[in-house]
Amino acid sequence: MNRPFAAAIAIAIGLIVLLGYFLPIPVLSVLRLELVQWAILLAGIAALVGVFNLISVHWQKIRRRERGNFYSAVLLLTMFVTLAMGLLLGPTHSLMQSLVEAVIIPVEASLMALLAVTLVYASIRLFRRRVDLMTVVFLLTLLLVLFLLTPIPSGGLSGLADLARSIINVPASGGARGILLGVALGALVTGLRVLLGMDRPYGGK
Amino acid sequence: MMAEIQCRNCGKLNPPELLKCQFCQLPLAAMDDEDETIRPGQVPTRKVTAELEPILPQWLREAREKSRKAAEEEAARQAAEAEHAAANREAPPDLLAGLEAQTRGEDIDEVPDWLAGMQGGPPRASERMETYPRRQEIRWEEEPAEAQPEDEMGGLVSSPQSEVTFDESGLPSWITGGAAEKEDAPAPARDERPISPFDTGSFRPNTGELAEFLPEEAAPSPAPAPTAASEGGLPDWLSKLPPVSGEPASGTPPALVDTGSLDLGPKPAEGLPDWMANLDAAFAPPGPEPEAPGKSDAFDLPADLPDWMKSTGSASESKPAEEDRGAFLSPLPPSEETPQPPPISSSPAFFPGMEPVSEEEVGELFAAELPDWLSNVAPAEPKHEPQAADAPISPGDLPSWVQAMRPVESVLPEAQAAPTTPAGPAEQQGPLAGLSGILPIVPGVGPSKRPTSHSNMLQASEDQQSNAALLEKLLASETEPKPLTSSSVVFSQRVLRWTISIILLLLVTIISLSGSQVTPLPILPGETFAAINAVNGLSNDAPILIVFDYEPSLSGEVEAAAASLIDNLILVHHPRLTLLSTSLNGPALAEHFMAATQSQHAYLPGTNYVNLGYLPGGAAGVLGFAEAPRVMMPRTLNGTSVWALPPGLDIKTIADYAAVIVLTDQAESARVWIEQAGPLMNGRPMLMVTSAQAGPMIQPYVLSGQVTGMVSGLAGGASVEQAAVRPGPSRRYWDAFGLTMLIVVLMIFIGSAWNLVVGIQARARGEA
Amino acid sequence: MQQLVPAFIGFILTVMVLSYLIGDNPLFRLAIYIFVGAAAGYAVSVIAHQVIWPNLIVPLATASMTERALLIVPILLGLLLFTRISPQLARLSSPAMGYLTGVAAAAAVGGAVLGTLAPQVTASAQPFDMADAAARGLNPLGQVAVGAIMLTATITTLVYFNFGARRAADGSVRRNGLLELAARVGQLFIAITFGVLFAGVYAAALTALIERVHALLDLFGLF
Repeated sequence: MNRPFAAAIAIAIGLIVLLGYFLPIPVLSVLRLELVQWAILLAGIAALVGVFNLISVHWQKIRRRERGNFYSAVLLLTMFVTLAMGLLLGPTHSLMQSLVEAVIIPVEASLMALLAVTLVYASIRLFRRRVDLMTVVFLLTLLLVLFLLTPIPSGGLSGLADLARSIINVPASGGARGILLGVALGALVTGLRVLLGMDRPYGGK
Repeated sequence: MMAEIQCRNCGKLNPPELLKCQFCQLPLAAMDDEDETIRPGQVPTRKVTAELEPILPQWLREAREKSRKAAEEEAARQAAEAEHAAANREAPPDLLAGLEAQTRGEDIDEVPDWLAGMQGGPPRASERMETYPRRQEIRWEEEPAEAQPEDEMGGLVSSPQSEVTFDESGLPSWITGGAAEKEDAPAPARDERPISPFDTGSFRPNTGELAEFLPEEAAPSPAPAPTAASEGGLPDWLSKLPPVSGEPASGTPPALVDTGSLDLGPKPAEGLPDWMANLDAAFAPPGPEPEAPGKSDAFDLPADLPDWMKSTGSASESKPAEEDRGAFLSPLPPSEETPQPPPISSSPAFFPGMEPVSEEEVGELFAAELPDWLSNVAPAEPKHEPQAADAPISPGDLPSWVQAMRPVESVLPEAQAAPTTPAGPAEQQGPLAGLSGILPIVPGVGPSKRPTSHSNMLQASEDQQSNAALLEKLLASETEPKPLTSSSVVFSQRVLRWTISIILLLLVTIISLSGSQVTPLPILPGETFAAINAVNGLSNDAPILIVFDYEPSLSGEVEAAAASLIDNLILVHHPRLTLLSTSLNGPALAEHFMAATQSQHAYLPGTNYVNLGYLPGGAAGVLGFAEAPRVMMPRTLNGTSVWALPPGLDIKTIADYAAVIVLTDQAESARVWIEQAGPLMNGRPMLMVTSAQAGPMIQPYVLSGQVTGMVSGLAGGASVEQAAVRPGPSRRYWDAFGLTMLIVVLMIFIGSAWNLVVGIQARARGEA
Repeated sequence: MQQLVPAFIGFILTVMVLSYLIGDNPLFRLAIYIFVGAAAGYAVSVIAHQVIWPNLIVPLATASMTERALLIVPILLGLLLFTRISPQLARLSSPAMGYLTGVAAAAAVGGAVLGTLAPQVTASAQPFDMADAAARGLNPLGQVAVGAIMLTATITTLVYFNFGARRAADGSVRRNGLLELAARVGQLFIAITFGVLFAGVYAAALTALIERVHALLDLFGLF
């Protein structure tokens, strides 16, 4: 009973929202807006569920004294401290802003910075793993684009750089457009399958 | 009046009802039957070995108790049989046949299935039917031909336990040689080469008690006992053989094929079929390549295997089956055509003086001798072809799992030259139809009624067997020694990574410390020029929506790219800004951006700009906000109504914003805004400030006109700063960025060229 | 002092994360777990203040009866979502998940059609409008040439991702010869596109490294 009901909800709600794109009917627009607003609320609750799940997983690790439970304890401690501060003070409080600037931004940015090393390493070893036309073209393109980002003195070299940039941009933009169209087609097909009830990722079999 | 039994140890006479010598306390029955062999159709004497009962696990005692009840009902007949056996010394003793369930309370968690299959009663037909043969799991070992006493059973004698090699502690060497071998406690000391990956020693039942009684059992030579492996390990096809009439051969030990139901014939060599006669060659020591000690651990059976796998593994270590095999196979005299078995030196290392089977040979065995359901995952081709010319049974005549029933050595190169003895009667039906040398079923040997007890042995369905095969393969692959990356290679990789790290960190640090701002800024790309033009075309005090859709990881780059554009916007038009984010960290990043890059404008929250905060829902959220911002975001982060504040006074849809500027680090989030909000903007400019990683994917939208202009990455931000002639973070970073990038290009170029050469050379070597 | 403490904490955490360059170590893991905990706590506080409070609590307290009655639906669905925490009750969340999936699917379909497929297909044909090029003062032939290259890249890239094939008479599975050729050409364009994308990723990573080094150096400027 529950699952066919879920499929019915998905199809009905999805069709109403989809029709709103193409049919400018006021009643439909109002209904669609209400449905989307509920979806926003539900999406927020879903994010909360995800956090609760995170708490559950790490609490279980601590309770079972699994390997790495110390880190789980640190995670939960940090989370509850941040949560308490956020709920009491609000996310716009200067203390919360400082917390973001002291913890979240530095760690995430540092993780990204690690890529600067690992990507060079991976690029250097690329030919060790495979040598084919695609790899050669890929690596040459990479080197050329990176070289165009280096400080190039003005003059003839600068003109050559512009030419090279144009030569690269045209096929790259064409390829990117092909990828975007492929993604859009995939989204279209997948969405239609959901709206037609052929795919039920919500468990509505 | 039963005859008194003479103790072999002290020579004194004991009453027949005694189990132990009343003078020296050594067991009488086993001693009595030390040299006893078994004959076809012979009913073994049931021995009461109650003193061994306490060491058995609870479940085994229960099983034996069941059988004992049946035994008690026929006590008189058994007594007569025992007397007959004692008198004739023909009935082989069943060491555990008379065990009584006397004690309780001991709890042994794991016991090998060869014990599990022992129920004290005669072998049951149902058990044969319910179980599947796993002969490839039987351990075979070679013994010197001269060490095998020949008997009237055609060589079917049990190996004298006196051959067990003991170490200083008094335990057999195969016990001390590895704890993994303890489950084979009652086994005579032989070359314990694992045939199955399961049969490797990781199956470690709690058999400490067994180990204790092993030395005691070493003195008497156990006659072939009804074995769990054989009684439970028979395939369906054997159980479907024509039923026999007459007296069931309770306790008669089946060997490779259930000898309890098959007539072995009276003479050693004459009556034996080819494949049995050739088994002496199979017992011949394998190849001279020594096996590394403990190599059997390569196929350790994990302790957390499912039960059915455990039972499989334990069945493979079925000691009684091993005894049976050794009993009636090992002493087969080599025929004239049979090459003399190589010396004993090829037994495992844990047998003193014996050399193990080489790894290659065992691996070949696994490849060639797996049953059907395993052969699918076995290596397609064995490394060495068996010498089929002398093979006792043509491999093509038997199912592979039947071939697997042959001993290890039969598939090893040294064992292929098996003697070709005269064939016995040809089998007329069943899977062995057409084969000669098959032990026929003789009335009176096999069971005549359907058994009532159930087997504790493996009852694996095809699915389970396929699963077992898969797991077996996985285990084998996991435990196969893989060529490790040499430490030098690992070290060189690590050094390379460290070198790159040091170069990059030093370069960036030195250039940043120097405060250099000498390198030329990049030229203005077309899309950036369009973005600047769009900003310049805005009216003063216009409402502008700025979307913060990037993560903290790239906040430095996006902020640097956007700082100059927003700075120019505020400086020139002094717009009313609305900040929004579809990322959870976005609201804080928005505040950080305003504080870090636009503080010079003294923009005040609530007056000059408003931070709407987080908009959940992804594409649906953007769609809703584009249609009705006031409905979707009724309040700001502070809980106040934004739409009464100056930045949101005249906003009803997204088209009411003079422009939308999306700051993003992902092409995906940019695409969401372009797809959902773009069609509703009524031609208002949509600008993108992106990370360099997202720029190329957004470029088609710029070319299609859906995005009015774009600033991509640090280079884009630097070009805007150059056009605006105002310093910003991009200028501060640009020298370090450009010069480091130059070094990076050189490193990648040189490193790639080097690896290209090395890779080509390596491939050339590999092909050669 | 208000700047120094966050900057110092950020300095410590940055060093802990960058220590991964030496190898995986407890300091790195500690920094990661601290980050995840802080990010999750901050996310919950944002959702509570930004989503739950204004969209649920405030309307329940202040809105009209009709609006309150309508809120029963998202409240009920939200409660069902929480059943996903329990594996035994997770199936009860199907209606709520179906609701979210239906809305997301509709948004994806509508956005793909109106926002990408139609505009990008139109844009692919745009360079071949020679009159338009002449009107804008561009070299029509040059624009057509560029458009042809881009169109070729677009089509062959799409073909490359098409894995449809037919089984030949001999049992082998092969693509149409023309499609196979197009896919091979598309492979080259994809290699170029990926090269450009990879360069963008590297530029972003290097910028992040430079920003972090500057942040570390800025700490010393605070003393």
